[in-house]
Amino acid sequence: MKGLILKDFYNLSRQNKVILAAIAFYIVFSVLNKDPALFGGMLTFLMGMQTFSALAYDEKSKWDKYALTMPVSRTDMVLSKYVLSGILLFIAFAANLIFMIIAGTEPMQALTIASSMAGIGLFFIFVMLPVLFRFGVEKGRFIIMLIFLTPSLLALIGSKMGFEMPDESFLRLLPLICVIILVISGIVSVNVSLAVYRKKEM
Amino acid sequence: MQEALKLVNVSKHYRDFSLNSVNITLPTGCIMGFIGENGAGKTTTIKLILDLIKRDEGSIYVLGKDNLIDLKSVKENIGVVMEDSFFPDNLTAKDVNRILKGIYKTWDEKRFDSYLHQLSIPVNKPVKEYSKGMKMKLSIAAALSHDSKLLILDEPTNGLDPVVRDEILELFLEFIQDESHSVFISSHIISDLEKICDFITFIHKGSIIFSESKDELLEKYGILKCTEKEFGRIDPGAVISCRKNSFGVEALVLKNRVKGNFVIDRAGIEDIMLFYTNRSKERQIH
Repeated sequence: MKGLILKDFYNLSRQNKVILAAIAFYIVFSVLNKDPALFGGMLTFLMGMQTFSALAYDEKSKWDKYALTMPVSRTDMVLSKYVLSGILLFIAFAANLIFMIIAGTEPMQALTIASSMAGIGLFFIFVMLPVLFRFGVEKGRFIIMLIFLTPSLLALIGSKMGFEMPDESFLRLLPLICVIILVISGIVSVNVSLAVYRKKEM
Repeated sequence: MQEALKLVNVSKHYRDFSLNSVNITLPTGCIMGFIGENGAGKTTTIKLILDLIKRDEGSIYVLGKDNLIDLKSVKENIGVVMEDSFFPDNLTAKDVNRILKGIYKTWDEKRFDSYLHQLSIPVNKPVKEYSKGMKMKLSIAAALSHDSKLLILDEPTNGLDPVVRDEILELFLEFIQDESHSVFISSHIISDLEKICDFITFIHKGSIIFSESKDELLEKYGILKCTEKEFGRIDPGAVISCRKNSFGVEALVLKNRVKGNFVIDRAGIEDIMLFYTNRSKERQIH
């Protein structure tokens, strides 16, 4: 699996200049808006999209067909993408945390914000990967847009309809609820991806 | 281990094509050429051997082990080169080395470097700038740089110039010097296969037409040229199929079943393949 992840990093790092430019842009944008969290959000999203790019590169070069002729199992192929995502999101989390502390955010708050963003990023990965494994990058791109548009639309409609804020006890339990949701969605995601990929004909 | 590769009654069904009860045995230490028209089932067979697609019936044994049981460890000893599966475009040979080092337990970096040098493959150029021949050579260098006991090659010399093809065939012949090594190679370039193969397997429309020793094939068959009248006197059991032309008849025959004084020329593997394909077409019409 080490080789697989290394290959992804080589592929992604060749895009170095574009990513560094994007990061520089977001830093500036964030500072101008006096909102350190903005940088974190954009960076997390950027890292999430890197996994998508990694899969796109694989598809373009028909890597999977070749990789499976090597001592690599289908399970390795699937898990390596989760591990890659984990590494990328961790980088985003660390960079975000450091940036916010430097920008003067109180450490505990910074940790909370950075963790929440990493959590959201992880959830995005958990939803995205099974879809991409099943439908490939081209069709998958479209399906993912729909999936992420839906909650945004619902939130928009919800806010227009004037829903009340949930009460305090619910809010206190929220972090625990989120962690539970994350763990469950992670388990479901990995299992669905494995099931899909094992049946795939190359 | 007696057999490097064994397929027993392997079938795979698609909507408009089927691989039917394919039986192939490749003894250890030999090179087997796998020939057939485009669409005959060569790549499908190879994909089934590597479990890239699922078979519907039959069993496949690679290096003595069932390919559905722990194929991952067997793949340590298989080198595969396929026509269009290559490394991602912006990787260099140096990147490839590091990646494969992290995948193969028996990866031999020095051997890979020496192949790169021998085959004039640039170390720091991205794959997207390679010529087709160079890409193929890189794949082959990779296939030979770990403990491969079986090489599975799907049209490795397609589209390559004669000089590069010769270079590559030399590598395969070098590989087979070790008696524990075997090669399974599919190709359209039958002259290449005639040069290096011990066995030839011919697949046509998803079925194996023959799988025999190359020397025996060349011994057994011949091309008979005669007039139509003379052809009428030949035992029909000796004839695989025939072609009529303005000079008379040309037929692929079993040499030992033709009695009488006839001109029988040597039949090459390509001739044998063409006449067998012809026979199949004739049988379809009737």
